[in-house]
Amino acid sequence: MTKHGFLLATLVLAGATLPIGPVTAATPEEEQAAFQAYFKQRFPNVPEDEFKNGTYAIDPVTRENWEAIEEFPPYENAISQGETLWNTPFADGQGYADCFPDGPAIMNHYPRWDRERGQVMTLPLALNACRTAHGETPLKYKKGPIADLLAYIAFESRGQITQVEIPQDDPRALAAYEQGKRFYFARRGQLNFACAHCHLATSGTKLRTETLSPAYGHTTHWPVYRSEWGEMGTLHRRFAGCNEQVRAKAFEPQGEEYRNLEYFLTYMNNGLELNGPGARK
Amino acid sequence: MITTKRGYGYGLAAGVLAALLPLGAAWSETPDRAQALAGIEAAEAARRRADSVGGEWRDTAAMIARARELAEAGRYPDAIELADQAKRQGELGYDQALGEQNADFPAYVLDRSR
Repeated sequence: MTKHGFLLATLVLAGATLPIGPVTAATPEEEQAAFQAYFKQRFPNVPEDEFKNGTYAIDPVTRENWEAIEEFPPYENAISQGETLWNTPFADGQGYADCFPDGPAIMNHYPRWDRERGQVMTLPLALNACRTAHGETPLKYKKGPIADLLAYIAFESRGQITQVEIPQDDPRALAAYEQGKRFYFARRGQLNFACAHCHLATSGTKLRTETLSPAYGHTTHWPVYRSEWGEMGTLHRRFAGCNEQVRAKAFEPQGEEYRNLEYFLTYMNNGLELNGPGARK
Repeated sequence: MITTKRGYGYGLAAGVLAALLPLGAAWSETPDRAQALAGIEAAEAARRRADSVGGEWRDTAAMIARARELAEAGRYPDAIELADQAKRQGELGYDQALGEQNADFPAYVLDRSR
């Protein structure tokens, strides 16, 4: 066999053993359009601006319960505690407002690509960067004060529109998006499930008594008061919980894996209104 | 005569050894602490390998920890069985992560916008 013949045979063999992917490569814009079109076709009776309400946009029974809960929102204490935190100066006399002059309504600025750091910058990461720059200890990322701060910021940001950008002139941003996408579609854990298995292909169906929520709308309402938790929690706390539900080892909150996942998923939700903090079962 | 007695003695010793050999073999097949610890180390290596590619499963580390406890308690067969299960989880998690590294949008989603 010639050198070229061997190479061709190797490539053919490798192609035959690779997982089946899309026929042609798509741009993030094309993927976002396909993602949103998929859900609009899957749930043709749901108005587009309702997807921000997650499973409550597609399940009338749970929506009724949710609307009753929203009459006395369980996240109200978090909002007021977060406001206190926002307005309490650090030991050096500065505060969050000095780091975020546009604040507190800054939810739609995140996640964003940070050129200087060469990584996805999320809001919790930016809040802790502010703290450490002023000599304060960073907050833990899953619950507690960080969730309170985020609740206040989310509340003040209500009505803003999700608008994540992937800068065309920095290939590292596209690489982060691609990594987040691969994470989303990769099977993992003992149950061999990807995020997409529950929230794309089978969204709207039942898992025991629960209705699986569509991925379109997953990033609009964080942090949330989750009845199962009995407290507030962040988006990365939920990522970790989902991974553990498929019996995979969870990744660190605000680690590269979940930051890139948030970047991809929020980009998919571009155009949806932000309505956090939220209440969920 | 002395030579004969000695020869008889050697013969007897050889006979006794031959009789005990099967028992010895059976005894050596009974899992011991060293075997259990080797199994646990193999499981831990498989777990670390899976973790290195982001493919570790949720319960593997806990299974290894439990296997260590069983070994410490002298329950070597149970420790080995659990360590073997953990090792298999590590191997499967590693293979799974490598197999999924090119995961992407399924065609049934992308095709809808075309």
